[in-house]
Amino acid sequence: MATAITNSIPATRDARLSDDALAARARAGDSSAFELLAERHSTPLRRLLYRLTRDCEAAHDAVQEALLSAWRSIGRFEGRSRFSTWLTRIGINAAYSGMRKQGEATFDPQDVVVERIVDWGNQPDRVFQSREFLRAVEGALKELPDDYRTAVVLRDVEGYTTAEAASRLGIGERALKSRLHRGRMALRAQLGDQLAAGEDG
Amino acid sequence: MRHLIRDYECRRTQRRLSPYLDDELSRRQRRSLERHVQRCPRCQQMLSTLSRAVEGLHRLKGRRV
Repeated sequence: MATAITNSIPATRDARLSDDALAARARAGDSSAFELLAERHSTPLRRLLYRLTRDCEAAHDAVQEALLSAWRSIGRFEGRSRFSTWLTRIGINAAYSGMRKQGEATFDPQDVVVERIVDWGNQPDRVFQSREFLRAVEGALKELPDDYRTAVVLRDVEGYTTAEAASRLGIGERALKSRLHRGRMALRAQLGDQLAAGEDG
Repeated sequence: MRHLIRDYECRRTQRRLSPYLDDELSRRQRRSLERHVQRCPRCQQMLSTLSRAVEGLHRLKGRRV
C-alpha cells in the first residue's frame, strides 16, 4: 500500500531529485519525472546539436525527436551510463539522421567563402582574439566530416573528457582520439593560411 | 637515409601532436617530440598553428549559438 502511494506521487518540480532518481521514476511510467529530465537537459543538448548541424531548426527538431525517442525507450535505459550521456547519444543520432535527410541543404557554402577571405593582418595577438578568427574557426568546423566534427565539438568546444565524449558517441576512447586528431588537423588545414600569416607577423 | 629518418620522425611527431596538446604522452614521448620540434621548422609551425586552432575551439564554448 505504502509503495503504491509513493509511486503515485508525481516527481513534481523537485529539483533536488537526481537524474538517476528521476530516470527510475520515468522508467516506472512517471511522465512528470521525464519532463523534469527533459527540462534539465534539453538546453545543453540543443546547444550541442546546433554546433553539429549549424541549423537552429534542425537542432530543435533533433532535440524533440531525441526526447520523444528517449521517452519511448526509457524502459530500456538501464542506468549503466548517465542519463545525459544516453540522451546526448540519441540526440546526436537524431541530428545526423536529419542531416542525411536534408543532404547538403543545411550548409551554405557561401558563408564559408566569406569567412575565409578575412584578412588576418600581421597582428597575431589581436588576430587570434578577434571575433573574425572565431567565426573562421566556426566556419572551418562546419566543413569537417560529421564524425570528426562531433569528436572535436564534444572534446574541444564542450570540454568533455575523452571518456565522456567516447561514451556519448558509443565508441571506444582510441577511436575518439583518432577522430579528434584527424578533425583538429583538418580544421587546422582549413585555417592554415590565416594561422600561418599570424605566425609570421 | 637521413632524409628518410627525418621524414619518419616528422610523421610520428605529427601523429602525436594532439596527444601532446592533451598531455597524454609519456615523458619520453614528450621529450622526443619537443626535441624534434626544436629542430624541425615545419613540425614546429604545425604544432603552433594546431595549438592556435584548438585554443580557438575552446573559446567557442562561451559564444552564443
